[in-house]
Amino acid sequence: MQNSKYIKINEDLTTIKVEHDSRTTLRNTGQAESYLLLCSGSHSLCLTVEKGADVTLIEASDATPDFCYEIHLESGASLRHVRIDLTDKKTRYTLHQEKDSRYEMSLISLCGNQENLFTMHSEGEGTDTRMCGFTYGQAAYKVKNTIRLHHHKPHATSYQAFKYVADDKSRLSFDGKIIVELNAQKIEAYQKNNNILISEEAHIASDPQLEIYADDVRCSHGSTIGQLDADALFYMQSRGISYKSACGMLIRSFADEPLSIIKEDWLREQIEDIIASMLK
Amino acid sequence: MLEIKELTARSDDGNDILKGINLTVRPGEVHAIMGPNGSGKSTLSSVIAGNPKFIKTGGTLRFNGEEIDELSPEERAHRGIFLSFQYPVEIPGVSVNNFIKTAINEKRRSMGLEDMPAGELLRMIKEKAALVELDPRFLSRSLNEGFSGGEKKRAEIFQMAALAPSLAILDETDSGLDIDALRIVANGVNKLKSPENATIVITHYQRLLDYIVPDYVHVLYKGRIIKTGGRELALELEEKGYDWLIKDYQ
Ligand SMILES: Nc1ncnc2c1ncn2[C@@H]1O[C@H](COP(=O)(O)OP(=O)(O)O)[C@@H](O)[C@H]1O
Ligand SMILES: [Mg+2]
Repeated sequence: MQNSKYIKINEDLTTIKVEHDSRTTLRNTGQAESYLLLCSGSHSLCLTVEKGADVTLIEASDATPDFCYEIHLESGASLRHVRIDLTDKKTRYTLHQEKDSRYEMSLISLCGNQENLFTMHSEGEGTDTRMCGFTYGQAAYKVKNTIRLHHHKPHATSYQAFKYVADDKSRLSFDGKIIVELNAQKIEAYQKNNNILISEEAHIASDPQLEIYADDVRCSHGSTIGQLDADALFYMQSRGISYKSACGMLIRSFADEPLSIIKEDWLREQIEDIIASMLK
Repeated sequence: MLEIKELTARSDDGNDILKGINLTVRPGEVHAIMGPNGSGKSTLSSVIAGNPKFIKTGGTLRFNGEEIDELSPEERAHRGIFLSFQYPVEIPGVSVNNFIKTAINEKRRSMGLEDMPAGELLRMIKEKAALVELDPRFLSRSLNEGFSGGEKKRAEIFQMAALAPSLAILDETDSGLDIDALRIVANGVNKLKSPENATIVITHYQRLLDYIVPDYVHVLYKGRIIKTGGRELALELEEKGYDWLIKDYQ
């Protein structure tokens, strides 16, 4: 199947080009900065966000079949990571978070086969890790997200919300595990995977897991599988909104958590348009 | 305008709920439908609006002379039917503004018209929000999400004002409203009244009918209209309850 979906970058973003295996350090400039990551071919990137820096990393519509990241967040650093996948990809992420750092990710997958493996380590107190994903599976694409989130230190929080819409013969899977080590007390860790099955031929596998060795923690996980809400559809249709647009709005609504992390209107609006165009 | 004859309907899980409804609504009229909980009032409004949860099993349902059974809910809306829900649905991530814009433009497209110019749309939305005293800040919030009961009902009447239907059905729009909210909602409805359009008010309480004065009052019980009268019937029900009426139908 030919992929006709693409994202146009029309903002003046500082570009980080990865042409070989490379190392990049993003420094504290005193104000929040946004970078566009461009890579071609199979590569790896070792990215360090320096102490106290506040940066955004956007990746969209490049053609990288295999990629390997290693991300280090120094103490107090903050990284907002937005990634839009529209082509076949296999990606491995390793994240190390120092004290009081914050990692927030929105992973949007709209086309292609993807396999993502995230290994995340909260290695300092007071870290915050927030990962939201939206996958719209069509055709016979397979998308798999595997997450291993390790809490090594106390007083940290993490939140994961992965939203899947499975259409056609797509096969989507979520395999998430939160591991709370023995001395990582006072952790708050939440994980959910919500699925909407549009086609009976699509397939969803959801496996959220907790492995907790500490005793004073607040953790929860769960998954749901359902259809688009019939009452909401009727409500919208009764206002004159066609069935198709109503489905689109409900899917937009379903994807709200991951999409709201994308503060860049020009980017989020393109994603919304692609989602709307995917409905049959 | 609306012509219902011997209408029977069941829920998609096989419950016969409406058992032969007869109701004729002409332009300019206000009809009140009252009756105890579980009588079928919401079901009747759902069937008129085309909720696929209910299956029409007999009788006729006409709107402006046209049989509408086969029409989708959106087609019925495009023809001028509006239902204000007893329980409006929360839609996170879709703003009131965006929702109403989509609804208005889809209706226009169904009539072969261009989308309404953005400026005109904005003006109209502001004007209608003012009509129901809906704080403009609500327009950018997610539809019904975290709204109080009264705010939800106000948002319903706001949508009704923006869509300018010819037949509005208000399903217990008054329940859960304090007296101020009730007055605002009723005012909104009254300002939209014209000799060309009609309103069906479903309510438990006579108090709404102090503000929206009905031409006819119907009592629905166990899927049938068991009594029809004028405005005074509502007052009588308020005073005496339903028992004297329904005892023959137990
Ligand atoms: N979706 C449904 N499936 C099955 N039964 C229903 C459904 N909706 C309503 N009913 C039943 O139909 C009857 C009428 O309900 P409803 O129309 O909501 O009454 P009212 O609005 O007058 O309180 C009740 O007995 C109710 O339990
Ligand atoms: Mg009801």
